[in-house]
Amino acid sequence: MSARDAIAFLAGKTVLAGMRAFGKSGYHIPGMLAFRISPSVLAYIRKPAKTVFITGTNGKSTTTALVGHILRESGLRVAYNTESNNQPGIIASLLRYASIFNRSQADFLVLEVAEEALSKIVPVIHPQYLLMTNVQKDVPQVNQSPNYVREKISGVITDDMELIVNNDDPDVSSIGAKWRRVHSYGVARNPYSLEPDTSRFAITRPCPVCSGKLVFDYFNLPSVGRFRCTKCGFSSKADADYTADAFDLEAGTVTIGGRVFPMHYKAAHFVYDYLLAYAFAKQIGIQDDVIARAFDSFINIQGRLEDLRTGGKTVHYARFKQETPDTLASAIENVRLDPKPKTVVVALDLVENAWGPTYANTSYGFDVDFGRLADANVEKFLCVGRVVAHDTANILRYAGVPREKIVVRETGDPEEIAGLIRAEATDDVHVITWLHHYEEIRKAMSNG
Amino acid sequence: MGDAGRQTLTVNWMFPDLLWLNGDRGNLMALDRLGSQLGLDVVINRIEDVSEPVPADLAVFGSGDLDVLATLAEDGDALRGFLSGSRRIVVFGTSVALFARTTTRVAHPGFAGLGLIPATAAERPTDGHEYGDDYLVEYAPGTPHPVAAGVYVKTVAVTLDEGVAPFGKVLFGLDNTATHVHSGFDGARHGGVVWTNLLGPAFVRNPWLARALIEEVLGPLPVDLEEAWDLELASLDAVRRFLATKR
Repeated sequence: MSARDAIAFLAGKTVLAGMRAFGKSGYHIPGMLAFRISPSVLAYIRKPAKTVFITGTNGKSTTTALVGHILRESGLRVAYNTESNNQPGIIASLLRYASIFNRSQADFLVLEVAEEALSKIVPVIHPQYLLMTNVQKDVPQVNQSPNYVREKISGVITDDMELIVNNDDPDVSSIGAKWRRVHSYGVARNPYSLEPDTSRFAITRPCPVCSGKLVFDYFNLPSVGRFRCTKCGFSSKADADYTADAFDLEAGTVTIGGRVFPMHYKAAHFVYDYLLAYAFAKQIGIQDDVIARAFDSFINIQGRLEDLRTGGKTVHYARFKQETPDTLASAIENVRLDPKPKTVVVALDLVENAWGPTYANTSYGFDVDFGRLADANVEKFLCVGRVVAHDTANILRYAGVPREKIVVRETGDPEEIAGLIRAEATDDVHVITWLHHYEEIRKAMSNG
Repeated sequence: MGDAGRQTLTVNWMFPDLLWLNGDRGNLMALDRLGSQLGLDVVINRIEDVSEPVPADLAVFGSGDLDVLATLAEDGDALRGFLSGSRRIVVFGTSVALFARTTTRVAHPGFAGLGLIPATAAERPTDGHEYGDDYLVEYAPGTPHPVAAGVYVKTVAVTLDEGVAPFGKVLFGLDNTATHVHSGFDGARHGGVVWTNLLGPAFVRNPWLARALIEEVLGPLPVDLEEAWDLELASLDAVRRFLATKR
């Protein structure tokens, strides 16, 4: 700790105070400034007495928000990062809850931490609890395979950490198998579960323990379900410590430990987020009634689904993350839930991220089954996006979609895409794309 | 020969559930589709056990994680024996590590591969390196479709032994050694093994490449497929325009 750290801290606090005084947003700016002045400022800022990290490929943001909300509902003062899960974002969170004299004003620190950031953050902030959502194929430019992601998480775990692991995720479950202070969570087979695909070109995945072939008895989400290795026998536990016995997407409920809780976000992937947050809350002694109240009042600003009523149409947005096929598969399943005649806009687009060059990768489209939309009452598929629209159309063609149902427009212009959506004959249009593009399209639709 | 005098294309899909990183099953779907378009009966064998021989025209290895490849390499003798019955062995991406002589790793023990490609492979460190980008390779100069497009994720840097022929010339992207940009060579051809860093999947985006490999083993097939390749040719055109802005 140095004078430079102190200057960085004070500069961050000053900017934060100024932004609050003038009602400005840009939550991350004080954190970025402080980090730029002194990259070691994170170690300088006093932390709350207890810390929980949430990590994994998907579900971190929703789970973090849920955990923070439950803790506040229980009466605790909570510091947590609502945006950016890298160092400047975490610094920004801590600045908000530290006094000008660098005393923590929170009881609990709840942080969403990206897997690649763990090795930098954990030496500075040592969590008592580490919650793991899942490990999936994600950003191959950085994470060449799920094995790399798994190792980034495993590499920071120490004996004193209490882990809560997803029993239905092979990679996360394999991490938990090596440690002592572990609790597991999982979702029972349910009406939304999918049987394994036995079609000619179906594949599963390798075992994270022995590289043998893993098989699934059923899937609750893509790559998540009851599994076992055909070579070494590694498998999901018969009974997790915390189990979602059932859930009802229509009614908006999830049943845990025999009690029915509200779950207002109606997609299967949310069940795991709610269950993980529940498991953590129970581990630290929060009662069911408090959790139920928190679930009932929870508003998820990080959600992947949205319906927009505009220009006489209902535009349903199903977000997926770039190059993360499991989120694309979830988006496809969400489209399937709508029985009405529809147009589906598939906007894979160029891949843009902070870790590598923008490039035209759509290979992950073959890690999902667009054929699941063949019987989903889709009248037309509109393939849009810069450069890759033809590749997207080709993926659909390979999935068995008749060529005459596929329209291709090589454009990423949100105004043009909004115009195409408005011109559609159907009232219901589903848009599958990532968040940044959807926000542009939504803005263009609202302006039209 | 298949029904009514049709030729048969037999493809061994090697370890389909293990070599799975980059949509690789699309390559087999592409061979199936293309084979039908060429008037062939296509037989695709899913191979998980190499203890019994299964002769094939093509044995296809998708891109795999280095941990998986190291495990597969442990059964090297059986695998080499099995592959001796394949007329062409097609290898994509990182799976070259299974075929090189040796692969060194950053945080794990290195391993010996099958040695069917005289080369050494080295895992690239996972910080500060450019792993993935678009890829354009000239593999058949002077032909109607000399170029294949896709992407690469370069987990390993590969040095071919002197005299080993590359698969093609890099027009855009990193070369085998990960030291030359938009120059140098991609992949390798040695014996019956064809390795390329092209992902995409390569055969989906470049059916002309798949056709060229099929015709290497079955001979020329006089079927015009230019119209059937409308989306793929449009994709190649779009990518070439895009890459012109990236240089």
